[in-house]
Amino acid sequence: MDVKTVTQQEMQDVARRLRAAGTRLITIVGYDSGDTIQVSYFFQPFPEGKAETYRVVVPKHGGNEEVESITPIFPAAYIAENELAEMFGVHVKGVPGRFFLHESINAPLRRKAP
Amino acid sequence: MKTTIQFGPQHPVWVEPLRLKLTMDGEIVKDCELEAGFCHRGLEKKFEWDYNKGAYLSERICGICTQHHSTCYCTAVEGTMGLEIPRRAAVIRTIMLELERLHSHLLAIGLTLESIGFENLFMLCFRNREIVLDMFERTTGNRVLHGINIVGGVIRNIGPEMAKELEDFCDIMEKRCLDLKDMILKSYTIRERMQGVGVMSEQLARDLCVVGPVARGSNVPYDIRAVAPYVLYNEIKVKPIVETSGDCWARSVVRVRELFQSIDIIRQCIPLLADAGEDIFAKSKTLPEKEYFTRVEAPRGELFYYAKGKKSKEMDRIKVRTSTYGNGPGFVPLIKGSHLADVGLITITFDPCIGCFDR
Repeated sequence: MDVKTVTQQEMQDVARRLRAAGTRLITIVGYDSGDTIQVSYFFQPFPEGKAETYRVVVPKHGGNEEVESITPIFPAAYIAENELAEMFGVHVKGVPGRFFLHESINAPLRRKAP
Repeated sequence: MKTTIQFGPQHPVWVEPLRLKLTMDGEIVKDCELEAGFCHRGLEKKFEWDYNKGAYLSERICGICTQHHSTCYCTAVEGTMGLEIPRRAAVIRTIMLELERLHSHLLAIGLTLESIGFENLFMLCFRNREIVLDMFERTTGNRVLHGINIVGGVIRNIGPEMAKELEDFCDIMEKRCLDLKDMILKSYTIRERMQGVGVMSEQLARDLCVVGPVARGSNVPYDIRAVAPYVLYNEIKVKPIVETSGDCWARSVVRVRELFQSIDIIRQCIPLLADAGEDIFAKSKTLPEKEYFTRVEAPRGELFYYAKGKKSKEMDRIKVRTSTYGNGPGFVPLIKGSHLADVGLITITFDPCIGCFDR
């Protein structure tokens, strides 16, 4: 699995470029490695091509880390970004941050920093 | 005057809970709000345990496409270990995947017909679906949660007698599906009720990245079996079935036509069993270590699993993106501007699986 690590600003440019090329967004996957939150974006070129993965690494600093949203570029990212926000306790700019979970549950997939 | 109507969480048109908050102006829906999470079970957290048990857990995500979930999970975990499954296991998995598509599509078509009040045809669909479930019981021992997939292969073989039975099943099923197809496609009532309702344009389908029959009904030929082949689809070529009109009718017609595609694929797989070797299981010498993602074409569309191991028996992270999750953003723009009487029909032609959606 080839992963390209990019910064948040570069990710916006990548998303715009892929959107213009007609690429489909598969999903966004969050992962807590202990001291960072890794956000992976999976894209599928359409009609043909190999899936591409881009990763943004966000250092943890006690909660509400900020992640730039790609929902304005890819409307399909709306549910995935909300889920990312509620599951990992990060703040994705421009989305409500609640979709599946009740308000009483906070960041169930977030791990304690080592 | 504007009124607000709560459509769900308990509504007879869906079996599972989903809530739509509709703002009405007379009979027309002006605004729609989607709320999910009523059967959120936290399975992604639960997946952080023994990778061998994960295959059974993944089947529990959805009661309809259990085989697709466990195949996708097993392929992802096998990818993290670099494990190749024996050819016979791949053939058996393919047969099971297509059998499951058959019964899922029959269920979806039946429920769509029921939602427009055609109960006789609904029962006919379910009678045909019963034969597929009986076939599952004969081949895997279980009707719904089959439990034959494990990491490294399958646990039940399909012998020559069972292959013969599968062939007979294909003949019976094809005849019954042909009858069903004639009844549905030639019916003036069904066509009039469904044509032009809930139109998703090709551009909207591309923008929202919808998957499965919803995308293919809107002239987007997106089928993972063709785009990124898995198990045996490298050999058995699948041409995506596409309809152009994008309405409820087109989505249903795609499902009806895919029934025959599935029967055809099963027929192509059965002869491959004869010279596929005897092994159905490969034992891994390593533990899950790398990260890997894999996709299968579930009956409702693309199903995605991301797996990450940590060189121990427990998995580090499993992410599941189901097909209804991909189709979720499509509900709102279609419902906006439609009649209240069409809301049930539009949502049911998406074939929503809320168990998948919430996980």
